[in-house]
Amino acid sequence: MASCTQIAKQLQTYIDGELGASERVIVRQHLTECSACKTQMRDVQKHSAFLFEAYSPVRLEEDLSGYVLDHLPELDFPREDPAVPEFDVASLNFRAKHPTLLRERAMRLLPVAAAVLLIFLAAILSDNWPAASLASNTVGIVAYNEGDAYRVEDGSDQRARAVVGTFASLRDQFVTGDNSSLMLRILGPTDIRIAANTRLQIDTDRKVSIDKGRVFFDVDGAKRRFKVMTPSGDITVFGTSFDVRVDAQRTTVTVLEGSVQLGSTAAASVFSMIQSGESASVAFGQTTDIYPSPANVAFASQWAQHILADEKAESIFASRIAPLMTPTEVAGKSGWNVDTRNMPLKAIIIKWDSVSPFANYASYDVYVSNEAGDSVFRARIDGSVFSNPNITSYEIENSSTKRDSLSSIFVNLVPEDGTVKREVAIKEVIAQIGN
Amino acid sequence: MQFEDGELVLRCLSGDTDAYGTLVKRYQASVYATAYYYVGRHGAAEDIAQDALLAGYRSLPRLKEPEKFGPWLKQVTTRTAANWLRRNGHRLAVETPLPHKRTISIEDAREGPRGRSERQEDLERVQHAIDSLPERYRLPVVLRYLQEQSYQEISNYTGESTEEIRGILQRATRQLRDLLAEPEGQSDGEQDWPRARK
Repeated sequence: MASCTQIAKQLQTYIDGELGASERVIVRQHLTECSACKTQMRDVQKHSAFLFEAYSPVRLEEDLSGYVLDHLPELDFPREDPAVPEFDVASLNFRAKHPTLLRERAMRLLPVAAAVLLIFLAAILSDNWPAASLASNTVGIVAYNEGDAYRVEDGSDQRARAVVGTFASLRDQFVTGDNSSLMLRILGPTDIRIAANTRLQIDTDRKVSIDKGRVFFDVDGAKRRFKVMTPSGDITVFGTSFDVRVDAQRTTVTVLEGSVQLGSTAAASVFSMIQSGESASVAFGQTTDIYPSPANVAFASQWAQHILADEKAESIFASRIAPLMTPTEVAGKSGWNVDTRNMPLKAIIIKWDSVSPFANYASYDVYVSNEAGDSVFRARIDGSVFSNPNITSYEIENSSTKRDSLSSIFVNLVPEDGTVKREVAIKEVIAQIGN
Repeated sequence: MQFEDGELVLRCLSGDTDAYGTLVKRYQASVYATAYYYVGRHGAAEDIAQDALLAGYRSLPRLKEPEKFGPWLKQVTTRTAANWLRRNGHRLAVETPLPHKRTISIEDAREGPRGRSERQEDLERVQHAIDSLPERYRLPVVLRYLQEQSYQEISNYTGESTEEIRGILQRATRQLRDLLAEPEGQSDGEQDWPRARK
């Protein structure tokens, strides 16, 4: 005879009509004998009906197939790379020996050649624009350029002009000169507008480094974090637009939308959340707190406003580059707002659902800041912690000397880089408070 | 005679557009539900669903494993919705929401404006509760309750096995019951990190 706990686990499936025949018989039998389970079954049923009903005003009942079939685009078959013409030694030798003959022949062929050339040019312009082919590590495309801008390929010291349609690959550097600017659209999609005299490197599709200059970012709202590395500090982004100015002495960030976290390269415990409408900077080697201040955001983005994506580049991005993206699901949320009831913070406890012991889990950087976004402390959870199925929580003591009373804290969990590692679904963050 | 997805994809590639019509009929509900899950309003979700189904056809030659059309179409839809949000996210924040169908059903007309606003509230509570479920549970729940998809249909689209879907829905509905039973405005003092979009 089945136990009530076993039956309870099958009720939803039973009501959905998705139980196998033999299981169904067992549940039905049990329900005739057990009034408690029967009551529970009614609850589950009522709840399901409520959910169906709540959604009914927005349910799609129309058939879209008529519209779709009427508007079908062409099938987009991947294009073959144009074949490289073979080097024909015999004919080259013959031409070298008979220069006049060559000219005569060429004259005869001129009308044909002109026509062929025209068709060829037309084909290049309409089809093979840009002429370059996609490399396996292509992550983006130049969507705007002005003045002299260059692309330096990974591992080479050769620089080539970057123009609209130039593909961007992993570890490419982009360099702009005086009076020049550039816009890159990379997977995400993230738009990167680069001002004059800037040097930027694409480390991954979610991480770029800036040596110097000024860049405006428009990062896709997806939950995967995005990082910007600079000599003075690093910026962790959660879907937002912001302006970054970098020189040897300092890095300044102004946030237009959303929020970013700015941290000092010199001291891991120095970081601050910058909200929209605020600006903050970090100096090279800074070990004291970072304080954001209100900023004129319209002014900060003014320089980038005329930089708009070329339509053709946009469509190439959409049709050829965007499909390269492998969507990664981010487990759970990354930011937590925890009430601390005007008491000093002793520790935080992080809880997650039990996980597979065999997976390779990502380590987490844990940033704890106060209500104003100023840093309290920072810690790291090693990925191996998650591999023990008996452990589903982790306590981190407040390692700082900051023992002020806090009304609430932000806890920000940032998984390390690396696509092979899995992220764990954090369920709850609890604060331990007291003196 | 029912063709498998893989067979239909191959027929599309050889120029049989009716085969795509069959795939659209098979997946439109899931595609719409995914779009709705991301943007939360009927009209926009319908537009995104149409775009995603067209984008799916256009890039069909790139589908490596034709028998996995469903999970692949889910990715295409997610991308289409993400692009839409990127372009319109700022508008969502300021625009008065107009999430419902443009036409009013007979039931709505009979219930009058009061009935409608109560249902609107129910929908908002349900969506709020779904947002606090683990990420992996959310889409299956929306597929099930918004578009009344069977476990098999959900499985074909998300790529998870029917057994997994069964477990997910079982746990998710139990959590939803608890979340919806809580009085309004009470959460555990935690909230999503403020984000620019969505």
